[in-house]
Amino acid sequence: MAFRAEGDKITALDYDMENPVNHGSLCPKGHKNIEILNHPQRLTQPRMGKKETSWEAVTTFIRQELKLFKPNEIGICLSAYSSNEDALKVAEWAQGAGIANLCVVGDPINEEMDPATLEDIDTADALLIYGDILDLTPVLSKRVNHVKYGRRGNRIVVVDEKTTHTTWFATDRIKQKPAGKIAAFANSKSGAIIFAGTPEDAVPGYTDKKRITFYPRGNALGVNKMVQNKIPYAEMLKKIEGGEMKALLMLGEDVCTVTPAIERKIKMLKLVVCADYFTGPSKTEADTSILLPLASQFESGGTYLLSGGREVSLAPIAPRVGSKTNAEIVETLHG
Amino acid sequence: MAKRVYINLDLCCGCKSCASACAYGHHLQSNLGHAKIKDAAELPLHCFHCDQPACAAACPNDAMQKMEDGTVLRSHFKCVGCRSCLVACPFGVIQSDLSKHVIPKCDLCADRVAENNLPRCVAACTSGALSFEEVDEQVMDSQKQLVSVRMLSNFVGRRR
Repeated sequence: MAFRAEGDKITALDYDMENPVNHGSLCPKGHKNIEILNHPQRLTQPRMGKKETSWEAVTTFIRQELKLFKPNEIGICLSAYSSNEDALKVAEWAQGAGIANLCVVGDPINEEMDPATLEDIDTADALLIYGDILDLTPVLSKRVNHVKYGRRGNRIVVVDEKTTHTTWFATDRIKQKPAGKIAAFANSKSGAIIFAGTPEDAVPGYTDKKRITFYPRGNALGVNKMVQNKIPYAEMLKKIEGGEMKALLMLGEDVCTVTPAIERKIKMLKLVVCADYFTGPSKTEADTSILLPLASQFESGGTYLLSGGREVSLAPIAPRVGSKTNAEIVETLHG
Repeated sequence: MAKRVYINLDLCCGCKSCASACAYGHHLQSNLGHAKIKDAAELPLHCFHCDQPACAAACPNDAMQKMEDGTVLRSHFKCVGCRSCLVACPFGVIQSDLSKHVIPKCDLCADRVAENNLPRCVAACTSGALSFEEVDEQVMDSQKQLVSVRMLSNFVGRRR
């Protein structure tokens, strides 16, 4: 992705045709980034309830409030869209403060035995795809098309119960989830799995072949790798529902947008802090809620671990609009 | 020779990146609608920039005009949003979105093409289904004249 700028301000998107991964193409999610940068409703100042305030005042308030709770009454939900550096910093801070209730809002990561790279897909004769991969990662469709139409005899096997955008391209379609080891992969919450290999692999017994997993939530791979001591997201939701939590820090995104059913319980907490780009459903009404403007990845930069083991480092390319990264936010809470 | 946007029906994965690119390049009003063909495909509806445009003939305010390079453009100032062009278009590619008080109409990204760039929809296309080519070149390309095999297979023969 490239940008067009006028002075300091980024005004339009452009397409990086030399990019080896996407060859200039960009999915709808990629297009939205430009909207985050210049959106008129973007948070630029911290808010306490409905009043705007300064960073100093709000961090002092949060520090004082957090002292009123025991460490096991405080929960942290870290967004899977955070950078690796942010995730590491937040994990260190939580450990230092004795907060054990730290979770990543994203799917658990399965260990990759022999991860395939994107180039492996290009050279594959057969793909076994689980789930609607082209809806999740449309940029992959050029490579899937290349396999399908590249050579006569190439096969694309799609395992999905529903008719999806991915099943349009299937040469063979499995509606029922297969048994055994395949079912174990199929039932995992990892979104979609692509196996790259030869036609013989598209029958049971392929599980020792190369595979590449695409995760639905941004940098889930990197964040889960960086945060070692964490509790599962589902367990965190149970603790909130059970009333064990009294304070909740949502770093990176509003949990209610991911799990809307939890919104009523979150509004009943004594302290809710959320770092995000915009105001969300759980933040506007509760008087005790605190909103912190979050820096986007184009304003903060950072390292991201993507599918296939690709690690990309982004440099900040846009000026900050009064926002801070998750790492900078927890740094201010140290004192 | 005039260039036009072509679509290879077999390759399109229906991700709507083209519509997103169009919207972000045209003040958040997408000029690109989509057609859903049962469960088989979801395709972008590009303006054909006809030789004898029915939309221009139907426009009461002369807002639609055929330019020298063959493109049919809508004047932002003359358009009153009466939707006559929408009714007249034989291909149904003109949409009824009046959020900007004008009818959305493909301008083939004239600003980008003037800089020798691809139109936004073609540049953003994730599957390589869209291409921006000379009219004659495309007609001679026998491979691309093939009827979409993938879509045909959904209607003739097995159901996926």
